[in-house]
Amino acid sequence: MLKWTGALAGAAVAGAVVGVGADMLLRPTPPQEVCPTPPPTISYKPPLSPQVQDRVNTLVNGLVASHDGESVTYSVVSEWPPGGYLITGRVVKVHVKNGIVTAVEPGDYVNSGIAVEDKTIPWKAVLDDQIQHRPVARDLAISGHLYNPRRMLYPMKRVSGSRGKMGGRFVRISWDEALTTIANKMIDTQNKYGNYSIYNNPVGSWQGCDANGWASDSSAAHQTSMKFTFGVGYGGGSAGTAEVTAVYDAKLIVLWGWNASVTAGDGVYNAQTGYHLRLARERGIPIIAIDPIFNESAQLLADQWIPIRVSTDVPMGLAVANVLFKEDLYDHDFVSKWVEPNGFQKFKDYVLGNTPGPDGAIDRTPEWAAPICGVPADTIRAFARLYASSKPTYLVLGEAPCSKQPKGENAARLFEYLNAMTGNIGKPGTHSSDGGWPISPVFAVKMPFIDLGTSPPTFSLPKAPHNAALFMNWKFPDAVMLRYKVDNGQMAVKDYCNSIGLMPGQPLPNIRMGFDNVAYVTICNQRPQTNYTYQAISTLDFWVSLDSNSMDPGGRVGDIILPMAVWPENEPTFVQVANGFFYMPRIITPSGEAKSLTWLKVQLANKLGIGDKFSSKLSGIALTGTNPDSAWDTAYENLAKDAYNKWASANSVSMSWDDFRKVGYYMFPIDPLSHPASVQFAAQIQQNEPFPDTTNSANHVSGKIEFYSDWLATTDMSQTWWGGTIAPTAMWEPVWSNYWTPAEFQKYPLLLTTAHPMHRMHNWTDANALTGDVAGAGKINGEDLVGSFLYLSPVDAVMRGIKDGDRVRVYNSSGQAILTALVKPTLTPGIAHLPEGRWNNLNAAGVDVRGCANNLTYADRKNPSSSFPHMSICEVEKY
Amino acid sequence: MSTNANQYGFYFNQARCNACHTCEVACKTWNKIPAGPQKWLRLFKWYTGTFVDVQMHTLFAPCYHCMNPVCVDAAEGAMYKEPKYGAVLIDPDKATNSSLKAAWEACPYGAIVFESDAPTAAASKCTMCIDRLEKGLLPICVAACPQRALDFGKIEDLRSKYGTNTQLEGMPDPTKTAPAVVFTPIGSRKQLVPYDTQSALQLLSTSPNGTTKIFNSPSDVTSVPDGTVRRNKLMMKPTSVEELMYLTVSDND
Repeated sequence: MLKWTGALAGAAVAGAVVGVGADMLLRPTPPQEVCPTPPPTISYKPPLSPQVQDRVNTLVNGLVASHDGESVTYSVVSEWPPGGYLITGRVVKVHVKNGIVTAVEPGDYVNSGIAVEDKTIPWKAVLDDQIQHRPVARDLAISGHLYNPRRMLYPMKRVSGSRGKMGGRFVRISWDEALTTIANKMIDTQNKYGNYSIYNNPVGSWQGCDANGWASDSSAAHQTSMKFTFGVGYGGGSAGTAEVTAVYDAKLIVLWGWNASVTAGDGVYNAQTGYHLRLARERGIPIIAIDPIFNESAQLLADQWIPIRVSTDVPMGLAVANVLFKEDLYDHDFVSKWVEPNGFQKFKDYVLGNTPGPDGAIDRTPEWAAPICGVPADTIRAFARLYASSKPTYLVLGEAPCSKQPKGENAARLFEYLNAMTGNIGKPGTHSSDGGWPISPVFAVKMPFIDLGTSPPTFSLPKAPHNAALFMNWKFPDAVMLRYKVDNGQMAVKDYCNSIGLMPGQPLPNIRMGFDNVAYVTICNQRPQTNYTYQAISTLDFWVSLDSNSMDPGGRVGDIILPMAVWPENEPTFVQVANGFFYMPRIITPSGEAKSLTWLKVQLANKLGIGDKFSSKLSGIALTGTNPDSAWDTAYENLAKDAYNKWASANSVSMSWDDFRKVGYYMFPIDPLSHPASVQFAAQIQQNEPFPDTTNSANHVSGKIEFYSDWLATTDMSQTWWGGTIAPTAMWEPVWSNYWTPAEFQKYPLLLTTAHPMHRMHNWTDANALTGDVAGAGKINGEDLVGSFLYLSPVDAVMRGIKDGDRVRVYNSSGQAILTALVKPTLTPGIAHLPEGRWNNLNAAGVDVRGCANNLTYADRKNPSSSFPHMSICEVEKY
Repeated sequence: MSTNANQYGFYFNQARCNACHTCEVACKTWNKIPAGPQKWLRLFKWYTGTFVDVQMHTLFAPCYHCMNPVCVDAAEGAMYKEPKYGAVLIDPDKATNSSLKAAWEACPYGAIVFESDAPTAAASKCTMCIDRLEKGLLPICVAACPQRALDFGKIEDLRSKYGTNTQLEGMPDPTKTAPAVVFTPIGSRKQLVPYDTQSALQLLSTSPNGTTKIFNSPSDVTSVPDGTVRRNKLMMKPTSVEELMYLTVSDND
């Protein structure tokens, strides 16, 4: 296989003049012959002598020719699965030569040739999202991923070592053998262990056998809070999720634990959101960042940064509510109209100390909150007054530091209450605070639909609070391991249900086999306490890894590894961006025998004898393990063409399929589509519709915003999906791994935070040398490379005798890692910061030298809200 | 400052840069440079101040294609000041390690980057994406910037649009080299609510329930011993490849 960097190095060695990269690299020159006469004087600055000008022309022509012969194709980046991140996909132009991706440029479908768009185009065009959706570093570096020498290119089976452990040996097998083996195992497993025995079955709804989790890794606490406060699911509400351009209507913007410049919205690091917020600041809208870390947003977006101790957003928020009550600053009109009054009074009683929380009946004043959250009382009080008097305020509570922790629903609910108390819901310039997820403007663009001929599923899992499932998403290892205890009579069924997030009376999972989509989230790397996940996998009968990610930790522990395609290799789909839609064509033939997820599903369904049910239109394509697979490609392209033609005639679009294929996108005229930025609950607040009860588990019946749930107060929660109690109103319930468990805290006095990284989508593309250049980990399975950092504050470093650049060991009772300390004054003292998604990378002694954050988290903490435990406690020592 | 009518240059708005390194990666992939230290475009990030009064600085550092390119004078005939755009170019057929070392010594910005510290190491530098200019395109870094922190054009036009600042805090004196660049520095902040740093540090010095010391006194936070923080100033001319890689790798993964 032609390797990207290898091709370059080869050219340089041969001295061939093939493009700028090779040509511009200086090669040592042989010793010069002694010249008998002095060389002629040459001017190297303009005006150049004719000889020098000739030489310059030659150099420039060589540079210009460096992209000769490349084809250029529009596409939209989709990290997994194909067609994901529909709304704000990052648009690219992919250069290809000889079937190899040679470069990626930003797509300039609008404003071509304009660098600083806001300085050039009309302001209305900015509001209408007529700005380029520019890609980010890892999109431009996709060749480093596609042609990574470590990439899995062929189906493999393990021939030594054991399931659930790294270090096994694998040999290449054919796709036919791989899928036959897997299908036989699936049939056996279903026959022997029932219909809930195959975890994450790609065709489970048609085979009639599946076992899956509920609650999102990211937004679980906000999904929960939205139900109990507003009666809708996450991203629900009459206007859908809030659009980012609503920020321009605000009088104050509060980024509470939200590093919008890096992690905002779709795709994690959707550059549009940070750009809009920066423009808002440049237009004079005051912005406050409240965050444990002085991050990029605190620098770029905020007028003022208020540092807060990790996990103490609830005490500060309660103190803000306390000031709003005591000084009578809350919005009486809004509250009387939209907030359910009995619950409002109960919340008020709690905040004023008339009724107790778990820590007693306490007047939740700024003076009470200050020592907990580390923010001076005067600051809290002044913030509350500013917030109450700045209408509208756009306050967003971020997920990662605030709600992705045990009892995370308290923070999520409380900030919904605060936005209601200040009247900042449903109006231009507001945000309901459902988790820091505003999106680019959404236009009602009709999209072609590619019809695979899929029959409706004949099987589905029970309806859990957030999706059909059998256990909380992050409880997979408990679902496996505790089931053995149930079978051995060591655990009661009800306790098992409560432990894994399953409503008693529902069918029990009996997982004996599973599939891991090793893409941006592999459960081996991205779930709490990696060792426990490995342990659970090791007890199963069979494990399949779908690897598009160069043998990451998920890929190394299966019985069979399947090589999966990456976005430039996937079959076509249509993707909406702003007022248009783009074609995501198959740009290159997949490397080796990598295949798409759809291909895998069709061929697996065929092996199971259910091919017709999954796709009547593709099931007839014979299995071809090699690439290119022209029968498949032609059939799929025809389905896309049919979809387009059908859509074009229904919508009177005259652009032909051939033209569409050539251009790569179709833009609807903006004028009829243009609209003011939509915000959530606009229909309720502006048009007096009641808040709905669209969920089946919250009993939200008042039609108003609820500050207190009678259902939560009166229900035996052990009989529900939640498994444990959720406070009836947002309360301060100190969490497990914190200052509140002194014995643990004495041993591990640093709070470990694990925010989203800038250059990975979770664990996606952690072995790409081209992003490794800027994000570390250019290679794996080696000693530490530059970039495997643990971030510490100066005072915490000094107290431990650590300087920037020192090797350090970070550890707790769950695990450890050996990393390089990077000391920066931007962290609130008392934090160790380790961005999530780095791959578990064990050295010879079995110690992780890359820094997989989940080697240091805990899987055994009970957490009724379903929110993932994204933080931990640790100690750090010089190594 | 006089300028060549044909001099093109870059504009960098430091107040908009979030150090996402997209410019740097765009440069490497477009120009087909292998992973490693030959970073034609270096993105530096450093901090000044101490907690709570901290400032994050970034610098977009390609070649600034100086109007008085001292590197060209030093490079023993291996470099040119190209007349159409004012780009400073290396002639790979004429260059030797020693001529480019001399040019690197002369350049106050460290714009020439070596593939290793070996005495025969190859070196290269930013070409202003002259190949793209010839096709009527923006340099790839400018076209790619997701924050719209970069612009490119005739230096006269950039100055009329963005002013004449050619030196951000911590950067070398531009007088001699006259870099073809315009900068907007990070702006000032306004305090929206009162915040007393000393009382905040007092609060943060123990755990919330007062049982555990986090640090002894506020001065432990505000007086940081030398050497504890390395990214506390701009260092544009790291003396080894390892140091260059260290200083230009993201500190937010």
